[in-house]
Amino acid sequence: MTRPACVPVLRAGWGIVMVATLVALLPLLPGPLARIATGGGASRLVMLFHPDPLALSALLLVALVGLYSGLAGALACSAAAFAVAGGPVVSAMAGACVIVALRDGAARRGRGTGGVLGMALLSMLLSTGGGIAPAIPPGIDPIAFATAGQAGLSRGLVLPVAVLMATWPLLHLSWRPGGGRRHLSALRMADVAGFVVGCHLWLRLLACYPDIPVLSERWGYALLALAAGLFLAASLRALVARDIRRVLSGLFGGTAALPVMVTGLGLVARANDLPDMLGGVVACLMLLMAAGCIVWVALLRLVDAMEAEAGRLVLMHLGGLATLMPRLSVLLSVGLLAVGGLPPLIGFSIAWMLLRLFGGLPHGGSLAHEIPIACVMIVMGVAWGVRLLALVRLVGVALCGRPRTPRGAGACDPAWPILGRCVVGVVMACVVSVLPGAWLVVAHAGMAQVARQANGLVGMDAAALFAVPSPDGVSVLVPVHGLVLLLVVGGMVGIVWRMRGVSATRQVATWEQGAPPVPPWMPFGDPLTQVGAGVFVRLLQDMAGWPDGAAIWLRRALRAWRACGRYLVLPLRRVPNAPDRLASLALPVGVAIAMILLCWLS
Amino acid sequence: MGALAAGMQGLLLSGMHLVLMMVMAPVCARVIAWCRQGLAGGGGPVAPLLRWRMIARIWGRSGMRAASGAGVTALAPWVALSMVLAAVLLVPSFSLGMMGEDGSDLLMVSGLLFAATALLHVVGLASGQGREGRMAAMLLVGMMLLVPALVMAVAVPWMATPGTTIAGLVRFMRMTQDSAGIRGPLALAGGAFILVGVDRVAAGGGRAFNVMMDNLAGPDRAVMLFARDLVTLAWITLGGDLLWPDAIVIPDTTGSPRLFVGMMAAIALWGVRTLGLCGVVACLRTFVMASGQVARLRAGLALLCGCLAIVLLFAGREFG
Repeated sequence: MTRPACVPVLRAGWGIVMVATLVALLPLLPGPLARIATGGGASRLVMLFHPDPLALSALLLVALVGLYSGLAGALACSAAAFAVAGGPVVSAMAGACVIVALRDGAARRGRGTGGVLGMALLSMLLSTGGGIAPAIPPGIDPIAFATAGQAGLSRGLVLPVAVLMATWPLLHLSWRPGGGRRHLSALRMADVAGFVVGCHLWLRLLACYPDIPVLSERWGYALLALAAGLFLAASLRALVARDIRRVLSGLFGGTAALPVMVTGLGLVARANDLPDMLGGVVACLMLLMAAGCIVWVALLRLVDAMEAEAGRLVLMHLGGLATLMPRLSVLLSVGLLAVGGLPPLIGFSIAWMLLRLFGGLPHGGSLAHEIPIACVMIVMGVAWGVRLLALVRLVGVALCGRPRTPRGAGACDPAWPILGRCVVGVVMACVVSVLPGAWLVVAHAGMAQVARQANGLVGMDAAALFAVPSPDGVSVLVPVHGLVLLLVVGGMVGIVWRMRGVSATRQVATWEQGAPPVPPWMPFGDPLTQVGAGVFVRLLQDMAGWPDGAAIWLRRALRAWRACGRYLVLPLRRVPNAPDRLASLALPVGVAIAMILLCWLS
Repeated sequence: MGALAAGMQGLLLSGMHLVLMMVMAPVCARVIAWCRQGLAGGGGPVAPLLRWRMIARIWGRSGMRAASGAGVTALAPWVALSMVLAAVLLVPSFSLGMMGEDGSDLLMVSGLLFAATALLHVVGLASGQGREGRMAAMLLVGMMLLVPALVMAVAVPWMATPGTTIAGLVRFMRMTQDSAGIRGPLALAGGAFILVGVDRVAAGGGRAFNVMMDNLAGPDRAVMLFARDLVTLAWITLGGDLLWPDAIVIPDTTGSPRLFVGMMAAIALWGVRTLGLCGVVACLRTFVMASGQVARLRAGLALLCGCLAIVLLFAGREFG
């Protein structure tokens, strides 16, 4: 059988790619890299596969995802590798391949067409303007290189739109707050490769956006508001989803809306000429890319192992996994806490950097200038609360309680090789939490390229490895201190625990509070008496006080919107199978639009 | 000599602070309950050690926990207690100069306290019972409504003062000449923190919290009660630090006798401030939040405090 034989070969291939990328990134061998980057070799090879330092850091992460995803995600990961490190046309085509490879069968029709259109637009934009892909040759002023007068203005208008369209399906951005199969796809390992490609595209945007202050600032604030709304929509999707992979997909959509927000902050920083804040933005974006990739790879590995043991991970079929598979549950809790933002872990460091960056926005104006930023912060706070509630709902329904179905009750810890791989993933997530500076040392050349500085590596000492990079040059956060404090205090509490003999506590059957005894065909008790997945949503609706009349108006507005949409498409609805034919027309139409834009821009 | 003496002083101050907070936590909970009884018309002696005696009695019993979800119930109260103790070590109460002062980041302290409270409520979901689970879900959703208010309350001191730590904030307020424009917003942020700490079951005998612990007995139950009191006191202390940062002593010389007298005075000041805030909390619980829809009202009030703080901070800058 060829299938089991392919997988070790694939893994070996991705391992070689990782080692090669690491060797190229670390400041040991700068010579050959510079020669390749400036096109010293065959120019055709450069057009095809052309890694500069920014692409190399993303390539390292894509190789990590490829290593973990095995055969199922091989196509998406290879396409992602070319999308990240290829020349201008190759990368756009490979990006379109990634979008197609990530398509979910149950999603609504034509879901990725906007992304493919965006990739086509990007390829046209990149290949005209001397583009973003080649590194800036030394001796040329980067600002003059990036701006080109009138062409720079129109590129400044169109570039964020193109990148937004291209990364819309990659980063799972969506305005729909529903949690069903049409709105939300089950998260797989290949989606993390799409996340790395999306982050890489936003980093490129920040690197090569032309230097026009007013336009840059407007786009920055627009991206900020947009990302806040998308974060809220993703958190709502995570709250109402009904199985674990879809809840994780909603949480992932929240994490993936953050690069858009940080890029918006970077555009504002560049417009207002704040070099400290720009450096903090670039560091935050790099750390977000790496930490998002590592934590989500670890989480998905755990969920794959859980699915093998406990069957389809529908929330109302599971329960009591903390008792049935304790080790996997502990690892899953650590991963979820890292996503949710518990203090020493990486989610908290990113939230800290984000809040500091908000504080670093220019406050020179009056109160009227602060109100939009305060509104954005309130929306982010609401979204963060909904996200935490979705996490607690996942833990409370799946991990706590009693099993709900016999299949869910048959779960147990997987064998040691599989468990070992999950432990390695979670340990890597903890390492990235404790040593955030290490990734920045690896990726410093890419950071220098984005921030348009000539010399990237400022003097890095051992203490900088442990510190989260300061977003405004003043404040410092060292996660190791928090970890050490928690360990010391935990040790003291553990001594008290041991002395009191709490481990010898006897376990009794739960008191049924006077209810009649459970029939014998329900050995774990009646599943309906437990807190279910809908209780949290219903309580939130009750407590947050959604007024009764508002639901009626919302439904009327939605009905009107859908009716308008139907009338607009009315001529096409006479043709049977209209959406299918539309989808295949999308690429030629996209190419036509891109050619028109090309003529207009040049 | 200087560094060693400073280290020893820091260790001593941290130890005193920790012992003070741990001893005073159930006392403050009892004071809040007594104030509420008095305001609601009932009488009775203060009996400040009543809650301590109850906790000690429960600690002395033999332990028992439900068989389903035993893993979560065994660990969660103790992990929550260690998180609260770590947060309490970071929040200054009567003086600065404690160990780990540079790590007393405002967001980290808020995050630790919030996570500890969430973990305490997750214990109710562990055994899979209906009533306990619904009480736990209600308390958890009520907590999540507070997150936007917390974000604003942390952002306001960050925008008003340079730096992110509580110790840095206190030092800045002591050293700056013109602090009139910052005291108002900081006080409002402190008010938001105190509103976050006004638990629906803030003072002893909260019905929902007791229902949540129906299947626990012994040391686990005692640790849950104690951790809840400590969390309330930590929020009150954090709010008090922002309301009145001048009450905290900054020890700049080591080992002088005037310092000892100063410390005693600072501890007395802290005691008075905390008891006053306990009275304020009791008034809030009795008059403002007496109705059923407490969670929504609390979240709305805290968010209003945060927004008013932002308005005051930037409106002041516009005119001066």
